[in-house]
Order: sequence, then structure tokens, then C-alpha cells
Amino acid sequence: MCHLHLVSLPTYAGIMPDNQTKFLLLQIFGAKSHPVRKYQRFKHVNPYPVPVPLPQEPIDLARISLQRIAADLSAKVTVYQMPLTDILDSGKEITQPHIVGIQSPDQQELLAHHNPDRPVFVEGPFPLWLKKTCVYYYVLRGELLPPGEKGEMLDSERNFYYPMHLDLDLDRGPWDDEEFDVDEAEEGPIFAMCMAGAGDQATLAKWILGLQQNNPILSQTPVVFHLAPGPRELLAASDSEPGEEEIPQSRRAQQER
Amino acid sequence: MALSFKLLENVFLSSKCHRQNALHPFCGPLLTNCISKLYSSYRRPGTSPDNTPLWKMNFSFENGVDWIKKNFGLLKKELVDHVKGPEGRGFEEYFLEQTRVVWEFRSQKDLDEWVVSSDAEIGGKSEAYLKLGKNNQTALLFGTLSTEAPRDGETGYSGYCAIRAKLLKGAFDTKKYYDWSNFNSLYLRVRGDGRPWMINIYTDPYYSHQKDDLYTYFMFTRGGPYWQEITIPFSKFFLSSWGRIQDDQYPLWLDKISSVGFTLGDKADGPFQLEIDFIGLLNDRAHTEEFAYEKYERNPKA
Repeated sequence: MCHLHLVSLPTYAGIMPDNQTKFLLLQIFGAKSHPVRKYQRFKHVNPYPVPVPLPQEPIDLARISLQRIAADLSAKVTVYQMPLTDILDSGKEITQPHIVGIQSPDQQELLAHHNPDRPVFVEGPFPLWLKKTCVYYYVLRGELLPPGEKGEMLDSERNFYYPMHLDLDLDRGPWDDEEFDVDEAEEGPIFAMCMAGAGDQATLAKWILGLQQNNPILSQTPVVFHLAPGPRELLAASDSEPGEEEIPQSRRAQQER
Repeated sequence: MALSFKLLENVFLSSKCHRQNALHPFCGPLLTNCISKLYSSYRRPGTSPDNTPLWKMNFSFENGVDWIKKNFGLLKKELVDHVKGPEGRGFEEYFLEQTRVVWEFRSQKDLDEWVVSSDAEIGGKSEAYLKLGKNNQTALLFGTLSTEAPRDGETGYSGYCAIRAKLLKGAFDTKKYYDWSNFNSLYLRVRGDGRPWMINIYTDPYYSHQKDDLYTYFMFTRGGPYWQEITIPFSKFFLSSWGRIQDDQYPLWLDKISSVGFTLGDKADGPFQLEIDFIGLLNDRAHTEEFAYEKYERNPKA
């Protein structure tokens, strides 16, 4: 039974056996044996496969993981800052951590409709595991609006010639009712995500400044930073964290006042 | 006669769980603060078996009376439900339903239906905790995994954590099962951190030598701040027994399911978290596969 022990481990470990393992298995046990069959079954089970080998460079790693969590194929990854280590003449070292952000057109639209009087929150760092490496990402999100203040729905009588909002689900017929009788957990809208080399407020402020290029509304919205010194659970927010500060992003606005 | 004997035992027994294996049919395992041998018969290597005789245990009249009251209430409810329809639901609901929410996590009472375990029970260093998430709308399972094996000479590997639904109990602690024969997929709304989890379904088989049978499948979380809706058809679950995947595979029978569990054992040291919004069942009419693995004998002896 030792061969079972050998092969049961990778299956339960979430690591998919690779070609080398397959070759070894074939050689040792023969083509029709139990371990080989097991390998064949579970090769392509992961719907979100992690690229092998995982890139070591932080920018590429950030790019791959941000594309993975964005869940939107039309999301665009922007590198706001490359990692840099400068040594000035006076001998002082300046290190610039990398900042890679992602935003999809849906998120951009949500941010454009956001009310600039309400603050947006930068939360983080949240852990993300890729096989055996753990990377951390930060999220820019808004508050959950109470139901009365939700944005206006499109008026269905606005245009009689064609429907402005089409929701066709042609795979299923009207007799199939696949809704669950439960209120799903709701949270505020997410506007953008990023990964940075360092988690302090100055770095993330640079990210926000970079986001302002495509989202001019950010210059008028107050941004609140909810940063924790270590990795946090995805939900815990607003109660009591260090590093909570508000930046009225509009120095120009202040000067105008 | 057997009922009166049961009642007499229960009037005097308190909530300790010694000698569960011998006394289980007679004493209600009042699982308040210890996980009884219903879930596993594992004994840490090096500890001696627990052999305290019955007359040394503590007796408590109050607990017995509470137990009687609770079970008569449950018995009454069961009789009323039997008249209403299968499992207490009406007939239209039973015949026409395509979705059903089995577990949702909205209060501490919902969390009490689940049992969390980690390899701390075999002496490892992982930790796992279950608590309600933000706004009491989700369950958050978090902790740290450590693959350092305990040094007891027997265990070779370590580093897992698991959560399992408690077994359903009817009146007077009769075994009850979930009947999911109307459905063909499991639906989960979760938010993980990229780790691969395994979903286990425990059934109650007819023969007792099949009692360690387990149907498993993988749940790959994507990670990230968005919720992930996972649908796994029951035809994909493969059979394993005592942890080893079996050579001859059989499809999962949905009429006698005792519990469902999630396990994490991906050999990566570090913190993990998994948020579950709800667990439901779906009857996917477009899914016609009966079983994903070969049912014929693959290496015939002749």
C-alpha cells in the first residue's frame, strides 16, 4: 500500500502532479495501475490554475495575482511605480516600493457614480495564496449605502424604440428557478485593487494619486485609510485599527476656498 | 421497556462524555463542551484508554429533566411534521423545489451546528477558529496551518484543519439524515484566499464496515474581495475510505447524508481564512452526468 500513500498526498495537498511525476509513475507502476489512473483524473480540476513556475519578480507576480482576483477579463493593470533603490550623493538610500494597481471599466463606472461627499476607504492588507506564496493586496472600496440612497434606476419608459437594459439568460428556460431564498451578504462597492511593496500610507497615497488620472472624482472625495500593520481578515473593518487618517485629497480645493 | 430504561438512565446522568461507545444507545450524549466519539475514534498515541466505571460519574437531576423535556418537544414536532409532509415541508415544496438553502450563517446558533477541528488534536501546531463575520451575515473560519508533525513516533504528516456539520439528531437522539434526492449539485457562496479546500460528504451506509466512507471533491477558491459562487454536481464526488481513494468508484447516494465538512490541508504554512455566506442545494436540470468516474471494473482479474 505504499504507493497509495505516495500518491494520496499530492492529491490531498492541492498540488497537481506534473509531468515528471507522471513519468516516474509510469515507469514504476505500469500504465494501468492505480496511481497512474488517479493522476489522470485530477490533472485539470482547478478552475483557477496558478501558472507554473510562478514568476519571482514582484511586478509580474502582482500582475498575475491582480488579474486573478479582479474576476473581470476587461480589467486593466497599471504599474504606478517601479521598484527603485537610489543612493543619493549624501549616502542616504531611498527605496521606492513597486505599486501595481488594477481597475476594470465596471469599477470605474461605479466610482464615477459615487457621491463625493461620502468617503472611500483604503483597506488592507489582505492575504492571497498562490500555491505556497502569500501576497498581500489592498482594496479601495466605498460604504454600503442604505437602501434608500441607492442610485437611480434607469427609467424603463425613457426609450420606447429599444430596451436600454437587457437581461437575457438564454441558457435557461422560464421554468427553471435557480434563485436561493436567502439574503446574500452585501458589502460596499469595490472601486480598485492594488499590490504594493510596502503598506504604509505614503505609498498608498501615491496609488490614489495615480488612480486620479482616470477617475477625476477621487480628487474631491475624502479617502480614509484603514491599514493594519499585519494581514487582516477580509471583513473586519471600521472598529478599531491603527493608522486611520483622512486625507482630503483636494489641495487645490483648499486653496480655492 | 427499553424506553423506560433509557429515561431512568438519563434522569441521573450528567453531561460528561465518558464511555460513549458503550453507553451511547442509552445515555443522551449531551455535547456541551466536549467532542464525543461519535465523530472519531482516534486516541492520541501514548494516552491510555478511558475506562472510568459508571458509578464514578457525576449525577445531575436537573440535566436529566431538561433532556426529557427537550426530547418530548422534539418528538411532538416530528409527529406533526410527519403529517405535514416529508421532513416537515409541504408536498408542493417537496416536488417543485429546485433550490434549497441548507446552512446559512446568520447567528451564533447557526455556528453551533458546526464542529471545528485542527491537527491540534493529534499534537500539531495549527489553530482554527470559527466566528461570525461582519454584520452577522457570514461565517469566518480562520487560523494558521503548521505542517510541523507532532513527535509521537506514529504520525508522519500534519497540518490540516477541518470543519464539519454536527450530525442531525431526532427525538431521543435517534440518527436522522438529510435527504437530498431532489437535487444534483451543491452550491456554495464563499470567499477564500486562494487556498484549495476539500469538501467531504459523509453518508450513512447500510453495512457498518463502510462507515468510514467519505465522498470528496475539491473546492478551489480564487481569492480576492469578490464573492465566489461554486456549484459542484454530486456526480463529481469520488469515494475514499479512511483517507485513501478507492479503486472501485461508486456514485454518491443522496438519500442518507449525515454531514458535510470542509478540510484544508495544502501543505502551505501560514494563516488562512474562508468566509462562507451560505450552503445550498441546486437541481441543475442541464446537468445530466450520472457519475464522473468509471464504474466498470478497470483491472479485471480474468
